[in-house]
Amino acid sequence: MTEQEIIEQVYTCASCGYCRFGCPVYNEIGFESLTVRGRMQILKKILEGKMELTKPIIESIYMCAQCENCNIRCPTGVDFVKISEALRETLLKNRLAPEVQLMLTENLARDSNPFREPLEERGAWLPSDYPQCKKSENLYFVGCTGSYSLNRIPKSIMRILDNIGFEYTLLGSEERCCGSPILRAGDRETATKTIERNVEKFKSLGVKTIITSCAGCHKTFLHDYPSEFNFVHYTQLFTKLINEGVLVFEKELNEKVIYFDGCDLGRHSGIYEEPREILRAIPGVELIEFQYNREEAECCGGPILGANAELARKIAATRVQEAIDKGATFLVTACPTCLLNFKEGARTAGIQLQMQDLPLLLPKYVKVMKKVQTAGAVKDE
Amino acid sequence: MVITKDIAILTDIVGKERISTEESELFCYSRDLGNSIPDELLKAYGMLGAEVVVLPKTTEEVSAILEYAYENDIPITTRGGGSWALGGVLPMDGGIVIDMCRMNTIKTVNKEDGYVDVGAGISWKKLMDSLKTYGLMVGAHPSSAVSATVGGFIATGGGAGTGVPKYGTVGDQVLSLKVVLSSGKIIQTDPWNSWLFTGSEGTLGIVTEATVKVFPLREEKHYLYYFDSLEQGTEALRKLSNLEPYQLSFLDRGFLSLLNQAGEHFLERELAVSVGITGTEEELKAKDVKITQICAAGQPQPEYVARDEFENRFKIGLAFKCLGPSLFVQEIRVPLRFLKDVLDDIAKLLKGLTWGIESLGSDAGSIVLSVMILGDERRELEYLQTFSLSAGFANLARKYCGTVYGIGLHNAVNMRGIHNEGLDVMRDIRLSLDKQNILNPGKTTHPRIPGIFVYMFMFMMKTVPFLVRFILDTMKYIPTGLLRFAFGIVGGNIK
Repeated sequence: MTEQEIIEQVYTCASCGYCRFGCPVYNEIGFESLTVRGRMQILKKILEGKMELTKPIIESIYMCAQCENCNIRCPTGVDFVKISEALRETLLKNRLAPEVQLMLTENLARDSNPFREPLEERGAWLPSDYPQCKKSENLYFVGCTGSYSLNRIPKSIMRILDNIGFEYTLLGSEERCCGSPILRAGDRETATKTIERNVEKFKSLGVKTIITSCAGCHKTFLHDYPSEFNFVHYTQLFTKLINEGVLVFEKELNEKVIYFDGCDLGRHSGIYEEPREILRAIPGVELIEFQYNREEAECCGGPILGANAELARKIAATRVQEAIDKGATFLVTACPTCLLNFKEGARTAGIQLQMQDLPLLLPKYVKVMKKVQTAGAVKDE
Repeated sequence: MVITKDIAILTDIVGKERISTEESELFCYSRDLGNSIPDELLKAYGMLGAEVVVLPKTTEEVSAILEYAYENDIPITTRGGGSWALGGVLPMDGGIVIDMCRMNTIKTVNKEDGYVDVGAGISWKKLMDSLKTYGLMVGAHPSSAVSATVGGFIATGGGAGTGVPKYGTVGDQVLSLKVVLSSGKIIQTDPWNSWLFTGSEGTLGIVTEATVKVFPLREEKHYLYYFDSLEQGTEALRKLSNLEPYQLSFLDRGFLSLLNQAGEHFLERELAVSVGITGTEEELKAKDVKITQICAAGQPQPEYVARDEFENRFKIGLAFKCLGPSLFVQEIRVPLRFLKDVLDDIAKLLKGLTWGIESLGSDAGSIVLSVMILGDERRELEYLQTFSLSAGFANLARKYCGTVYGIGLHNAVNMRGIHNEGLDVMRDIRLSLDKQNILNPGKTTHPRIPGIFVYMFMFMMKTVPFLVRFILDTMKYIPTGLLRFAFGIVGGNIK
């Protein structure tokens, strides 16, 4: 977003306060300066030279979860998420970003992951003899969380793909960050380099379709990568396999399951029904919904874990409590960040609820896995 | 003025998580909808701005804050969603801003007897969404329901919006209010004395909880008709209001044109009339026949288009703001029978400006007009001129037995003209409940007059275009020969 576009949006904001409705940060804290309306009012005064850029103002820019719930409510078309990305870029360039953000950016540029884990250990979770970087039209892009933190997620997905004879490849230790956290931190230069490097790698292997299990990666691929690739989230692939009779669920899950629409997969990627279709395919599942679901779903708070972990956990605990109040006995996510934050939030608040990320649930309940007939079965038609 | 000791005591009351004296925070709590009141005008009004912001969660906390403020003569400004354009929540005398939005829980839903108990800070949309699961709906609700709170709508009169033509104003639906008086005393009102606080704009007490009527969810049907003739359109509106529709509103040609410029796809006719009805299948059928008859002169739109416009009702009023990008809103309530004349007069009043009119359904044969005037606050002098229009709108409303819709800051200077002797009674009531005048000072009955220089300046800005136009018009009537003669003398080349 250009400087002129930002100025126009600042003056276009009506200060109606609709942005507050589903804002996870505002709804937890309650102060106006943490809403889009408040930030735009402050920004206007800064642009007019009537207010100084202070530390609390900078911190408030990083306290935005960039969940885009405000965008769906705004009657004047203000897109604060794009503005916040531009602001973060400027703050970073001028080294005005909070210390923790500066460190995060440096780590990301060095390690290509947000966990400060060594780059060379990215593929350590894979068996040493597992084929990697082979030529294939289908690539399973594992992502940082799957590679360093929640290995069980990619292992579950691979177990299903391998059992049905699905042809694909992995990058293993050759994989790098998709660029999502780098972009959100405002380091466009490093993000551009990362994206270019990834695209080159995909092309060198003849990849046409990229399968993702991380919602953040999927969103970034859709919005920031060239459209010459076909990006498929595993929920889309598995729904297709269920409909084709390749995946059959027989074991029962007798629970009241509530599915949480994470922002990156839902609002940012438009995937709402596929995770629900998969859950409905499991016998015994009674699917219930949050009051605000699909496009209106309210963020788990995960994106602000770096800026304010305590607040992120409080927001998560509020969502878990709502799930319990709705009568849910099982909370299912399709985003590892949401799951991690929910678990921490519930633990901190002392709330008990079974929860699991969708891929971890699947192998246990899949009874019959037929072999797929063609390698191209995953392509969007 | 708020001092350190006051902050310490307020912190004891609400806890450190729900109090702020941070400069940028105080600034946000010194603005409301539009955020485009020129700083010069606020200075002329002598606005001091918030000195401390508190977010109470219980009536007892509000009571403790008020008791302390009363004893120490600290001004209090109560704030709901801040979605009103009349400056009603601007903290004129500084002091404490009480943000009510944390008091947002639904305490009771009584489906059988048709009422709910809610915290005053809950937004109307949140309440409506929650009631759906019980098969219930609210009656009157504001056009800014996503942001506006139950307490805020009650405090600002709640006389226009969806549901009003069928169920009456929000005051008709209030069964009881929990109110904290300026002294900190907590009272529970009955339906009759609730009226005292309805529309009192935060000057008589702070509504912390409300018991309001709710209604069973029924089938809905929506209609949208375009009229080429203003006479036919306004006549249809008058007749439609007798059917007690759930929703009755219109958009004028100016509004439709601006929407299209902002990327919408409306037909540009004199009026687009929107009607929504609710009821049993039989009731809907009976009304359907009547609506079709009444709107025979109009061009009907498919129901999905009408429903879409209804669903979009909370957003449409601000959809073309980007064209300004600043917006000055004036709202007046007028009898429907004078609507055509009122619209003609508004056109004369706003000659040369860019504007559109949206109406909000009201009760008792009246309608509330929301006049959206576009401007650009970055062209300060020109923009300041639009603020002088509030007196013109007050006069216009009065001419047609109407009134301004809400007082706030901008219409407070017109109070004498609006209420005549009634203003003295209102002042007496206010001072009997709030002897020290700490509740929302500078508004309604105790207006703040902008500095004399600003008034003079605004007068000049108002008269300059008129004078220019007068000179140009006069020149048309001077014979051309005389002009040539005059210029010839000046130029010295007469033949």
